[in-house]
Amino acid sequence: METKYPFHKVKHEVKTIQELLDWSGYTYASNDAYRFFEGNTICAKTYKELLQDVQFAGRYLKENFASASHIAVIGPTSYQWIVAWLSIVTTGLVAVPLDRLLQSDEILKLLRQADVSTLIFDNEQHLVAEAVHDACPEITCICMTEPFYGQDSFVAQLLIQRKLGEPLWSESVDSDTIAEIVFTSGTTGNYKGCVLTHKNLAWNAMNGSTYAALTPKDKTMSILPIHHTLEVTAGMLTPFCSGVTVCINDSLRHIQRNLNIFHPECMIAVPMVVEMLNKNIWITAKKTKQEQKLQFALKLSKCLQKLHIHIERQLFASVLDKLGGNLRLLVVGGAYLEPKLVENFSAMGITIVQGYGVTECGPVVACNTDRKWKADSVGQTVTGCKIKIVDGEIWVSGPIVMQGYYNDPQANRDAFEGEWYKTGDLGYMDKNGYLYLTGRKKNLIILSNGENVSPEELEQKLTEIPGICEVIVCAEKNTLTAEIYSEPGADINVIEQQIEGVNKTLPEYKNIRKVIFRDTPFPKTTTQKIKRNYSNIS
Amino acid sequence: MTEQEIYKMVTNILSDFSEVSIDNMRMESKLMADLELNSLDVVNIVMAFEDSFNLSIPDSDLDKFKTIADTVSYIKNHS
Repeated sequence: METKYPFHKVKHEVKTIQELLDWSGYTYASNDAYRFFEGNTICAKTYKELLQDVQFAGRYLKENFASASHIAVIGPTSYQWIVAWLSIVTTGLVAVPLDRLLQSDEILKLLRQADVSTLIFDNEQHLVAEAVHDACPEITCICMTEPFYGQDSFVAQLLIQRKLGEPLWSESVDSDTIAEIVFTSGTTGNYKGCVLTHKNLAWNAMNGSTYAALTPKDKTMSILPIHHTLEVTAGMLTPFCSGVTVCINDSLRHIQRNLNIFHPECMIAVPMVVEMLNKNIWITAKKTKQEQKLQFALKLSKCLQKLHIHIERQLFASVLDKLGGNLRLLVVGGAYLEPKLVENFSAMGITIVQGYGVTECGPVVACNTDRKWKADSVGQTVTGCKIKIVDGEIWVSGPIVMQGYYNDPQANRDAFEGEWYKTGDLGYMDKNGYLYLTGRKKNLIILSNGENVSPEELEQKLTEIPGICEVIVCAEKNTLTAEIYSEPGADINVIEQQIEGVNKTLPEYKNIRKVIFRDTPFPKTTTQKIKRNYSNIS
Repeated sequence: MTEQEIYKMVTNILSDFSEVSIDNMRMESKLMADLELNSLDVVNIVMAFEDSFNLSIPDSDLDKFKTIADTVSYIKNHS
């Protein structure tokens, strides 16, 4: 069903990322687009400077790489990463953002899978680049800040281009041009490359600016990994629509400190971050013996809000001060969020705008707004898109839906029914068009940090361990847990040590944290597949 | 500080973040599996250790804090 709802107006309609950057570069020219640390100093780049840097870098890419080349970018969130991604995309080339937590062998696999010709990497990923240089000499590796095997750094190329005079876009980009290929976990553990066009991302960016009222005076703090589609669209592109300043958090350890340095009004987050902020608030209350006072203030604020009396910022001044003093909005997606947290944060004066998305849709499919939200719903269908529920499964169509999976006709046949993309998520809609999630059709574990983990991928690795006969991997209270039926007489300690060994070959979020041994084999289906719901893991 | 004193301070800090009570914590308790902490909790806990034990713990050491025993011996060796 198509819905109309209290979304804010789009300030300027764009069809491509190039148009968006161009428009923001002129409209908000003197406003800071980015603030970030360089050592202990905070640097700033205005929207005009960002536009120019992207155009300088774009001219270098245009002159040195064939059109439609696939260029991978890997590294932590940094101004250089952002300029690299934007310059690739606005030049009509294809960006392939990669997860910096992956091991070298997985990175090599993905580079080949996406037909990448060039890798731009942060110096932190130096060892990965060495592995790529050795195994795939046909891939050009460019370090963002240092020379690498005779290649000037990306930053050095920017300086060279700057001396050559003012850049302009050499040609405009079409809205159906591919902007990026983003990898997502398939249910079998194989990554699938989602092909997202300029139209997909431009729609997402514009829609993002309609969920909440943000102005050029506002700041967001970027805390999510930059290769994630939610961070690319909601964290990087949406602020361009309103001239918002993005402050780059330099480490997860510094969130609290940086909140008090940058004083952001907004953050894009996953449930794990909201849970952490909530925990910190209660720990401080406990230490200062203010727990009861806080509980009373929450009740009072909720009552007053019903009467349209808003004194949250006075009532919770000390809590809000710890969060930088200005925080009033959290845009949250990626995994299940407890409705109670949405309600409590709202009572404290911080609106949580919860949404739902999938990488295949760039990602936001439904979202609440700061004007109207339901704590247990992921909101209403985003503008211009349609959602229908087929046998409980959420299907999506519209300009946000990806072109398809890269070089994977079978996956495309499975995922599409005409114009409709089948998300694999289960849910329902109420009569007002609010979407509610109820589970997953496929076996994919969604952790509270928004990471998707294929249990089959881990189970396959674990069954290779001698002594393990059968295994099921589930998430128990957000902890990846393996339930194992081992060979009679097998040494449990040895098996646990071997699992530790497997963990070391995987990104940290895929690590098995808990192991349960069972005495009997798992019940099976008639085709001898393990019945997952017979696992002892709750 | 003795191992026992460090253990007491460590479990006190952990109890702020975990719903598991101090009485149910053991030397061999795993921070993530048994105390039901997530990776962000561990980051925060390590920062609390830095403050309480006057230590500087590099990011590269974060994965060394797997059990309470690991934690106690790390702090003992570095303070």
